Amino acid sequence: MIDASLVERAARGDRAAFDQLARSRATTLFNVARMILREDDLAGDAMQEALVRAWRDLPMLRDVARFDGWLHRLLVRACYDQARRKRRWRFDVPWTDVDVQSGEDDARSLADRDQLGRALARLPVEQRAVLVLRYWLDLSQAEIAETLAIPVGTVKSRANAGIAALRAVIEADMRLSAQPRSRTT
Amino acid sequence: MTTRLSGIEEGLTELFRGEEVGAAPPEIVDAALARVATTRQVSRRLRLVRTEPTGSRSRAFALVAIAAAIAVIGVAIAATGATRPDGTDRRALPTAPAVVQRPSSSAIASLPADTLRIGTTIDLPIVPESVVTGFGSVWVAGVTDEYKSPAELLRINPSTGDVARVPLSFDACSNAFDTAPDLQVGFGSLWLSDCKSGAILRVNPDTYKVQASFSSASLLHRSISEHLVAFDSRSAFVVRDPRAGTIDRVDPATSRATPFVKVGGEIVDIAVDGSRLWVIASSVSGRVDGLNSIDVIDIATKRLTTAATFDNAASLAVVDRDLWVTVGAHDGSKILAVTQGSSPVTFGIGGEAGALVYADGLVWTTRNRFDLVGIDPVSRETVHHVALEMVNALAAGDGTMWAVADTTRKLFGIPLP
Repeated sequence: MIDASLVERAARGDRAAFDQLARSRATTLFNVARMILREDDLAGDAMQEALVRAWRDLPMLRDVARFDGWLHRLLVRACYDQARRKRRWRFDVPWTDVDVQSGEDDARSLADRDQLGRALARLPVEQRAVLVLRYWLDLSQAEIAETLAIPVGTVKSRANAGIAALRAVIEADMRLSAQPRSRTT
Repeated sequence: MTTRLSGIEEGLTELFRGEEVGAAPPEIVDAALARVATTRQVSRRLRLVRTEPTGSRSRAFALVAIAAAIAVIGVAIAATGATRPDGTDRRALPTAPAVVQRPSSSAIASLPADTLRIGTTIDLPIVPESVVTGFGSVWVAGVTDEYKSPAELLRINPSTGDVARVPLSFDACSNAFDTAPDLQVGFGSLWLSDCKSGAILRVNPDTYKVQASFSSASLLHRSISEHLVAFDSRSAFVVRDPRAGTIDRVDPATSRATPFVKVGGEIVDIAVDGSRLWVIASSVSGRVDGLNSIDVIDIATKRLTTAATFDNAASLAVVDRDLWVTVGAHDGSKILAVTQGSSPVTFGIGGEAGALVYADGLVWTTRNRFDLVGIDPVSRETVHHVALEMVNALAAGDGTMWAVADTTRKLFGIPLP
């Protein structure tokens, strides 16, 4: 729930109002950043950058009702910046052509949490961001598009590409882990 | 579009819901608010000058454009109520980075007092990705929106700080968080990568006309190349296809390109040391973080030799006849010095090294993107540094090191000692 008067006061330079806003959003921001960046230290830095930029740019926010979406946008950009600092993280996952809609995968056998977490960490950060906004914040595709200032089509393509890449990584891991067993039997 | 969640989607939902939701570390929130206390709120006041190409008849039009831009910005400020209560409207530079110190690999090491100072700070209307000096100007390429690829080229007067948009249409590769446009100066031209046309463009710096275009198919997709053009005294070497590892030699007089060499991998960076072309090639397409080879090609004979292979070899700089390369893990980058007549030496700089620039007898780079460091190439000691924030590209010219910061959209000029 957005306290419009608090946002307006902060936008006019009231630091106490901004402190209150920041503290009330910090946990959500930190956890979104953690899930995108997969590392607490980087998430803390991203949250810190997002809050400083929010303070700096708040006078430019025209619609206070959009404060949270705008704040998430700043956070995701700060996450991109942190990922850039570690640009050598960037992995291009080898693709296998997998139909996202195919029902062949067995959800529960594929979605081992650790395996999925490792695979998620290998996705490009922009795909991770879309997946976190979609499946953790439960934002709709339209809301994600507005938050990230990208077309809905781009949201869909990033989400589909991310899911396809996750599936490819997991299937590759499964094939690798299956090989030794097949040799011993 | 199916309404049923796929297995992966269900898995993601379970993964995120199963992750421990922790409170934000209070010391980080406090540090953020401490920075807020020293950060002034924004009011856009950019000095934008839309220039006409040299020789244009309409200087008056440019003045009208300036007046119009100022008027528009003024109206925008009034409409958004951006002026601070105290009446000031200057967008302040955040103070020195106050990232909380932590004993982690990504922590910023404490530093002694700066030995350099920032002489100039210029607000930029784009997210800057590349910077180069030449023709009496500082040139910055970047994108207007981090999520989109249409790029812009700015020409900045280093004396007045005036920022001019160059009327040139090109795209960055994918977007700002992937690959910066390569921007270089050589043989009286600007050389610029354009992922809209999939080509390296040779641009006249006076008329802004494209003099020549060298198609590069894989530029249409994602490229990991740091640089795509290098020069010796007689030729330009243009990466023709980064993924295929092909490089053309271009006659600067005619802009005629002829195939020169093919290396075994995707090209990450190139540099020339006079008679030799150095190339970092990645063995895995699309990745810079693998075991990369450092190849050297004799320009006269085209003979290619792999000098070394290193994890994460990413950026080259030629220092006289020596070669310096950033190598090592992302959280502890080292610099490799390949010197004449002695074994290569690697040494750490206390953090992640950015691109390397040789100027005024020192090798310059950024450490963790938070400070500019100057390294003595003989002693390999860091002899100069200054705290900056999120610097992502450097260029030296006329006794000044120019650094761009993508996060804060700023250009810093640091007078060199």
